[in-house]
Amino acid sequence: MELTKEEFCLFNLKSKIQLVEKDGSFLTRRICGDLYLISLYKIYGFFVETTYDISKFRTTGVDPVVNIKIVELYDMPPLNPTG
Amino acid sequence: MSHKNIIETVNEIANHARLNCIAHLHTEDTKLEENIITVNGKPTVHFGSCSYLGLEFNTKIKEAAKNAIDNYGTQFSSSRAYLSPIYYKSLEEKLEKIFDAPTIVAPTTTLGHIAAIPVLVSAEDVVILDHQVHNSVQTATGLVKSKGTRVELLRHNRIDLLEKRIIELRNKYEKIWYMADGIYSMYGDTTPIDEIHKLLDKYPEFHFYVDDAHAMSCFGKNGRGFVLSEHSIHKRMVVATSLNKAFASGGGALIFHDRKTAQLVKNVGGPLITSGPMQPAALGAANATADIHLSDEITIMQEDLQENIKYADMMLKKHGLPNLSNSFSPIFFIAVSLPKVAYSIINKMKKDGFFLNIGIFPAVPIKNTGVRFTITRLHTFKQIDEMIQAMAKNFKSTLIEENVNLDTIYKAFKIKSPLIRETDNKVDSFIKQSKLTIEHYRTIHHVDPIIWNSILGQNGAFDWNALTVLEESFSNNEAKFENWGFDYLIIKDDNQKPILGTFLTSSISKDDLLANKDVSREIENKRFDNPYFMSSKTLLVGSQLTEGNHLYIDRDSSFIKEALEILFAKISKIQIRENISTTMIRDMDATDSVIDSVMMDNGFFKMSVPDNYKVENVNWKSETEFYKNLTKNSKRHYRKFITKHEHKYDLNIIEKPSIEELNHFYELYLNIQQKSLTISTFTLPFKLFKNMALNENWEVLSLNLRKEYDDRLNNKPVAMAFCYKGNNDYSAVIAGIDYEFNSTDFSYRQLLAKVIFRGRALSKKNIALGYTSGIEKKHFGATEIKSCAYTQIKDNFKMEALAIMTTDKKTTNGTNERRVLSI
Repeated sequence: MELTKEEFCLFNLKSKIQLVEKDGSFLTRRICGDLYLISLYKIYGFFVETTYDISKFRTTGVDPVVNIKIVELYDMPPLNPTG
Repeated sequence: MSHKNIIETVNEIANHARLNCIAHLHTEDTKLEENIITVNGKPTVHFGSCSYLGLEFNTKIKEAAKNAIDNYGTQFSSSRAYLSPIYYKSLEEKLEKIFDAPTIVAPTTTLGHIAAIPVLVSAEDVVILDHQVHNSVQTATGLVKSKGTRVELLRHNRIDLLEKRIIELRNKYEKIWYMADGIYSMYGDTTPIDEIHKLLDKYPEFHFYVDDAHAMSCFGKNGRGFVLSEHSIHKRMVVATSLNKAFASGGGALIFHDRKTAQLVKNVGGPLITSGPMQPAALGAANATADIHLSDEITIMQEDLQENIKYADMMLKKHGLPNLSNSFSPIFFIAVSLPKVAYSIINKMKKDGFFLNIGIFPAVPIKNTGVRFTITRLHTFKQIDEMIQAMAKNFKSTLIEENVNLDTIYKAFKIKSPLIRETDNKVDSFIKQSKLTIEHYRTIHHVDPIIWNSILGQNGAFDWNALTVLEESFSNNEAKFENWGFDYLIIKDDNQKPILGTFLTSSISKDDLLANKDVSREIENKRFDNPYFMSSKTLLVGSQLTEGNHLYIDRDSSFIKEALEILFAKISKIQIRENISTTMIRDMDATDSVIDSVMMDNGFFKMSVPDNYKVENVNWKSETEFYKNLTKNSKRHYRKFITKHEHKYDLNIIEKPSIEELNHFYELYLNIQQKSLTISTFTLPFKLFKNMALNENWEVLSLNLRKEYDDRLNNKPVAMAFCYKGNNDYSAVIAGIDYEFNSTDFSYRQLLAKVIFRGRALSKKNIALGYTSGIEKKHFGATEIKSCAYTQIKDNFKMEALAIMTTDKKTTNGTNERRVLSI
């Protein structure tokens, strides 16, 4: 059963990681300033970005993509957010 | 139920559950891998564990248990009254830090109750047990009961009733003990702790004993539990808790406000001085668990558990499963009502790889059986998601197989469906934004008679007194159509002045209530086989029996529109609660454009209704004067049907009719009811006639033919009217006649005349003569009261079907007596 974006945001980081691992589809990733590995996932009909802190060896953030233009930062074809 | 019967019943249920392979089972694993257990050869995810934090696999705790065995052996067998192993001292010190209050450790929570309750409670006290309090508390209470303490049972979580009992008992007993659970082990709901603290502060005789076993570790600072999470321990409160649920070691604990009471229980409490102590392994484990509770680790674990609970709660809601538990509780209870449904679901779940529990008698009432499961920190979202998906699938299929529906379940548990809850929330938030005060009652007995009569008691037969008769008559009856629901609404402005008032009844009514007579006749033929054919649950402003303006509106108020909006919001709540198909606001002024606009805006369509008739502003002094006021045509009518025949009749005004008289009056009523289809209604219950007869505001006008004009030996009345003596109005509400005498002796017309003169004799301003027979009534000076109704229909199929039937009748007969809708 799918969660809405609002429901997804009610969970803490640990749970969000679990949800992304369980229900998310990995799309692509980018490196940000050699410090962070940012991955784009599609989950329940919206996108989320996970932020992996390379120096700390752990994921420090999982946040829904608010502005779809962020997707353009990735080296990949344009995505249909509802598709 | 006798004790012997209870034992037999419980034994039977347990055996049945055992044979259904859902109770008294064993794991088959030689080593557990977290929450996977093998039962009946099938590996399943364990959704029945009370080790909510999954600490049983914690390395530090396991090591501590092993070390304690290495150091002290498998047991230290000595009464604690003489000597306790070192682990007890450190554990009690740690627990005192956790609870921030004096604490003693007991071998188990049950033995803790058995130790504490007989010491705390005397024969001069009274114990009030919550209906759902854990069995172990009830067992311990049995000990004090046998020594003369009064023990009562309170409906689950009914703090209003509790306060009432405190007030009643406070001068009769030294202490009033209320015993409850913090989190209930079956429904997973909680004791209303804030309200209990208010009672503790308010009543010095009130004491609270609470078993918080299922909340230990999961809630509060240092995992001190639910009841102590927001409040410190009250000076008249004792908390018992468990160390072998989420605490994952063994034993129980008793927490007191003061050291003196703690020491008293420790000195005198039977099992604490005579029963064996906890084993070193459990004590070692408990010490390590307490250390975790005193560290930051516990907060993270609590948060992990809450995340799992939140996810499970969200999934249950999305699947529409009727979960009774609080949203933060690790115990979930899916209501299913009948045991066979629960057995089936649990077995299907086991086949799907999930081990769940049954919640059944004696833990819950037999018809409130449910599927109980727990969520722990060890569960993954994937396990929870898959289990709830399987539950939704199995719940749905089992309901179909067992012919049970969700409505039956909601009713069995007296719970609101998700739709009702959602509507309630919307309406409540809408109402909260208003400055107006809304009073909503389900019985007239809760309404202030002075206020009610000042706004709606002046006219018609629906003052406070009349409504008590209606409520009594249309409740607890066998036939569905004889039972009505009542709702009373009074909306007040910020000066507490009523600006709107009304009452609504929900009942089953015939869809052809106002349809063409021929249509009704055709439908009635079909009702021989199915009495509820073409009938619907209807919400009426007013009732099927009363007439007149049932909606009081203060026309001088500037809040009319807002008050009406609140009325509509409340109506929408009632519509969902009662599963209403048709809503009708009747007897409204058809020319009121303000009301018309508000009604249309809120989805109500205007509808024509039969006119009702009233002799208004009665100011004539005698029959002669009355006659003088009639038109020429009516005078001729009066001479022909009244004057010429009135000598044949005796009028009896009966205030307290006998049962034989009532039986006959009921037969006369049935004569009219079965013949007249202009307004198609269900038959009124005889109980109504009995209740009217008992009420001083009702009287019966009974017409007998004088013996010289009556061939019958029994000389029974040939016409009657039940009339209500209201403040301004005299209302003929129910009439009955013997048609045999109507055509020759004009008994119906004679009855109308007698009603009018009786109303005048009682100095009433108006005489209400009801619907239909307009021509006759006009001959007696009655005026037709033009009104309309506003209606809202959930499913317009029936309405359209009736309209088609009406059109058919018009085509075949060339007449159409009444349009179904004016639009």
